[in-house]
Amino acid sequence: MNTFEETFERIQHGRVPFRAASFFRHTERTGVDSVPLVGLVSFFLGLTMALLTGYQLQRFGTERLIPGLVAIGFTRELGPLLTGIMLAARIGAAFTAELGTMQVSEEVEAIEAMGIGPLRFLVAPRMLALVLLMPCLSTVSNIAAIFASSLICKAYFSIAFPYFLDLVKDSLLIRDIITGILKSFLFGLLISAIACYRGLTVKGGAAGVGTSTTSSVVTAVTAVIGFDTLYNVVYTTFYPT
Amino acid sequence: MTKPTHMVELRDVYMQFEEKKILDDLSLRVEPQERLVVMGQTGSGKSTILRLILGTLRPNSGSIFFKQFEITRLQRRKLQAVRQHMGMVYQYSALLSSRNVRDNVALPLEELTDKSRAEIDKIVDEKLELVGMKDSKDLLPEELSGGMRKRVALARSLVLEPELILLDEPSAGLDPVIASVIDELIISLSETAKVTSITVTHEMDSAFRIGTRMAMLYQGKIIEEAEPEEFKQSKNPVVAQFLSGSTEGPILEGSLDAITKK
Repeated sequence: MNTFEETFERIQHGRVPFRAASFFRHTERTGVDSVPLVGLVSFFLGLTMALLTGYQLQRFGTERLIPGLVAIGFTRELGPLLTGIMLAARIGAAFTAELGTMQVSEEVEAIEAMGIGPLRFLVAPRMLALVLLMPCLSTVSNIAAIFASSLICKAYFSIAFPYFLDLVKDSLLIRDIITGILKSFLFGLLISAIACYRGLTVKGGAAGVGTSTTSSVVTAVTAVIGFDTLYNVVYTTFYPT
Repeated sequence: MTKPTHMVELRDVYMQFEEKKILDDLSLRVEPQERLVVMGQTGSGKSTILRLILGTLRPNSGSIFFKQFEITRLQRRKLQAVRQHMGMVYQYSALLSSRNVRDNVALPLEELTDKSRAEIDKIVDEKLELVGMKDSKDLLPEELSGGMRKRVALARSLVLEPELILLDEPSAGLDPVIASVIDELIISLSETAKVTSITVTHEMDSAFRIGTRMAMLYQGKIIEEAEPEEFKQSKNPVVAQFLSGSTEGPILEGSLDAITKK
């Protein structure tokens, strides 16, 4: 509540809630620097998925289902989920370790002692960066996986790129894309909130930072998978097809 | 209950961490422009007093006032505003390790004022000049020695022109020359800028150089409060033992009793 009050008071006084430079530093670290990892892992997974499903589907003569399967699988499910797991490990751990070290070296207290709200100054730009960048990274993941599967389809199952694209477009619904984006926002919020909370509540020096970082990653990964399942259960209840 | 006109007042403050009693109905007053030095053994709760005044810790009972504001009852938002009138120098400096010296000192100005970058740079230069650190503006805290960090922390605590500065062991671990420089800086601040200061230390030389009034904290209470000369002559056995550094007297007796009981 205090953080919201502080933020609104700043806006009333014509001040920004936090520095744009601080926000962009985090978006760069969270987003731009994560593109190679997310892209590469999704690319490999896209290859594998197309290859494994392709051979099974080939037995029934339905290889043309591969593009749709990979596209729907990634936009709705695997893209946000994989990105969430990778960012929980890569960025969640970094946020917890960074804030945890600041906490044990009294930096957070010093910020508070200056009259600056640590949640507004330290947590808000990190959370916003992760929440806003998650859908972008999920999209990178989807594109990388779909691209990888198109290579497999061309090389092993004689599906040319234009036909591949048509099949993807035919099978993919706007609903799938929106679902994936909503999930990404949710996962970004979960990972950043868990990571920052664990960071700011570190106790016990260097060992405490280590324990909290591990716990942050484990909790965030579990929460992401758990909420994904919950989301799917709720979603399929309302949209069974 | 009347609101005090002192710079700082602690009334019957009781504080315990888990089972350990830290402050036991402690009362203390600090007048404007005074330089109070709180002395006491390591772990006696000296730093806790500073944190209570800042409001980063809350006592179990009792009241703490900064001017007319009752710190213990203020809402967080108001407390943040009041803290801007105080400056705190931590024992281990607590500089933000990922920001260079300039950015550390500029932080309160950037975050809490509407000053332009040029104005901020001017104030930062002025404060760094004051502590003799103007040439180290671009260095990171890890590239500085302990004394340099402490001077930067002091500069940072001064940028918002506070009325009260709280210093936690300002000269601990520093060489005697740098320690004297910091002490003289604290004295000159109180004389020129009329800043009130509360210093917590167990360094004798530094304490008697800075203090206009001394207080001795022992077993959670202020057991002696006096001007430096009078304090030196104290008949209180705890104060006398603390000042002489003798191994014989009530301080060690207490510890020995505790050890024997265990």
